[in-house]
Amino acid sequence: MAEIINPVLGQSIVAAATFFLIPTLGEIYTERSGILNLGIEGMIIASAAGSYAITFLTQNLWVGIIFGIFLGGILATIHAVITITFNRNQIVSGIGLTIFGTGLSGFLGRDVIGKAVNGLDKIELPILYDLPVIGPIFFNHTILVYLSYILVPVLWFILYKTRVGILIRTVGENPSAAFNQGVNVRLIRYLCTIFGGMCAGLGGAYLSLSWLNFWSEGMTNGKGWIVIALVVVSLWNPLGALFGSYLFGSFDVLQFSFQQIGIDTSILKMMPYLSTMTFLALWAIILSQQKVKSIVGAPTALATPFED
Amino acid sequence: MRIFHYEVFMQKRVSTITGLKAIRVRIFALFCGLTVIGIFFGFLGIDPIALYVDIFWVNILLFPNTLGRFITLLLISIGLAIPFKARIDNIGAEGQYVIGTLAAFGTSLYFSFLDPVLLIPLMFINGFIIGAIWALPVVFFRAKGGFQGADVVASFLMVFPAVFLMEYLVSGPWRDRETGFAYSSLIPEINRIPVLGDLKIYIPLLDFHLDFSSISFPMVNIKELFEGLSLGTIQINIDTIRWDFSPVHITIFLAIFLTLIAYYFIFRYVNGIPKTKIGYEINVIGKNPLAGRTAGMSFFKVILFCMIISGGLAGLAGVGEIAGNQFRLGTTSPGYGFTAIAVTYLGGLNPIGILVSALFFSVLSVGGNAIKLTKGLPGTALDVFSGVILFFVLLAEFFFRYTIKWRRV
Repeated sequence: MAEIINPVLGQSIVAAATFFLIPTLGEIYTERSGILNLGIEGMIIASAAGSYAITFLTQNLWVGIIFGIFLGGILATIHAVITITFNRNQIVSGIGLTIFGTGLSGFLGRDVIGKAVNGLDKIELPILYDLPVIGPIFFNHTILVYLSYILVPVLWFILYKTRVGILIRTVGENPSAAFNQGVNVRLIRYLCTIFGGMCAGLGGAYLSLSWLNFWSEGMTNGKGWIVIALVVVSLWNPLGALFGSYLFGSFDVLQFSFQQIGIDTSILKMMPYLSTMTFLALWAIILSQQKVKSIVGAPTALATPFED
Repeated sequence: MRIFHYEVFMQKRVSTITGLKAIRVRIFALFCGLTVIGIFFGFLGIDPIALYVDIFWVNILLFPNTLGRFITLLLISIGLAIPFKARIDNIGAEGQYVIGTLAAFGTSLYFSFLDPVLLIPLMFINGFIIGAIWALPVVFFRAKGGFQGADVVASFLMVFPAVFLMEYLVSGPWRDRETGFAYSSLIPEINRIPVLGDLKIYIPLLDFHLDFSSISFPMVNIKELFEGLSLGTIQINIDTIRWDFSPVHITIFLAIFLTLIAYYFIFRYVNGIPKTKIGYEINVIGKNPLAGRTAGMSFFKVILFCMIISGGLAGLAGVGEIAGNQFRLGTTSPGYGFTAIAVTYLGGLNPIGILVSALFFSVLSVGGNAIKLTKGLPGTALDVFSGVILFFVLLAEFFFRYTIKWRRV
């Protein structure tokens, strides 16, 4: 336990967790509106490459980050057109988006492999940094990490306490009832899907410009899929996403602590995936109870097309 | 939806189009996809028409390599079509393929005392079994998973342990000490799968020796002809093309045989209804699970069957590739498992369609690999093709049921 309080390790856990957290928040909104977007991985990796390349070209970080968000939104729009306007299979379209995004990342990033870009600087928050233990761990990060701290309560508030949130949840729960109440189901689903894509894009930009500060082909290593598992583990709730991301982030970082015992690195690299599988299995058993599902409020109409 | 003075709307067709018409729509979608990719390449400053001509010409020169790739893609795709039909979204074929390559290499290493006549079949059996075992978690998540997409996520997450296991074995216990790189040693020549290049067939009536190690014939050099045309001249050069069939291992016969078997036992329709019991059950579970449950079908059994076949076939593909073509393990996975998803959907989840689409994607794959360096394409170029074609195939399915009409307002 002493290791977790170690500020360097704690910091890297927060940095890793933020990478999971931002796309998870977006995907929660997407899934709450009834659209399953499995293309997270593709959007993250394409945006990571795109924002890195644009930053390298313009030497302006913010242009790069905004391009990453924009690219994520554009890719999510492809998914939205196929699944919402044309009512096609959401799972296949998501897989297509992942494959396409991976391919696109190679093109976007081909000229900047191995080239250095100065990423976002760490900012020590004035008063909070001086807090004992927590201060150095949570308040010595880049601005995107602080943004994620703000996003969690704000998105939770919007989803549960405002009219917009009720509309989003209704559309995911029972689209035809919402439609008959005069709600524009398709519009809400479009907006939620695009919002999810923009969050994934921001996650990608965070990966290449704030967390790791480099770009290499296939650098996400399939971590985008962990996000989809995380949405389930967090029970479609932004506050749960905070808990889940930090849990998975610590799996991601703690694997390196085991190196000292003498376990091979290749075996340790399996850890995030195997722990995700274990959690997913536990949750699958829990959620297969219909009662649990209704208490949690899992979106019933998830991945079912809406035809009016 | 209104666009200027016209109202555009979707109209349901009287009946869903099937058969030849459906194939026509699919081919049209494929062309649209290739056009969009062409425009995409145009933006990157690569002449798309020259690119496609290059891909085509490379494949004529290297047709045996295309066939070699075809074996792998065909086996994986047939394996994918079966679970896809039952709406089990197994996208982890890459992992099952990788684990199949490990099984083949391990078998040749630890059973080297066996005669090759026994060893090579044992490789295939081990590849099938271990590939199937690797696919088993998906069964649990599909049957018991409490949420949509559990099977997709689970199957994908299983890819990475397989790749890292390969990385571990290749950089540790199975490493070839003689090379400085992380490669395994070569599979001994005697334990390799025989290749077509070794075959010599004597055709008695014609008194002709068909020698697969060198087939040569003259052909017009299409690339030069095209380059001439774009400059406004017609240039016809006759080149002699030599095909050496050594990348084509005899797994190709197994692959085609399994395709026909799969067609006969699972996909065959008579009067619009699947002929066999298992085929019928797979179809019902995919199309209307509620009806299947009411009729008392065992979901678990069907899913188990689908995934065993699926993982097993991906494993077989791995065995064929490693013991017939590559002979040694590296540390990276080539991504055939992901390309195969697009192959399967382009083939319309039908073995006969998959035969054609697997050949099409092998052409893209071999062509893309060969011109990667000259055109400056990144390693993921094939993924762009697969992704876009997958989108367009999905859209094509929309037009099976609907048409788009417009009228003046």
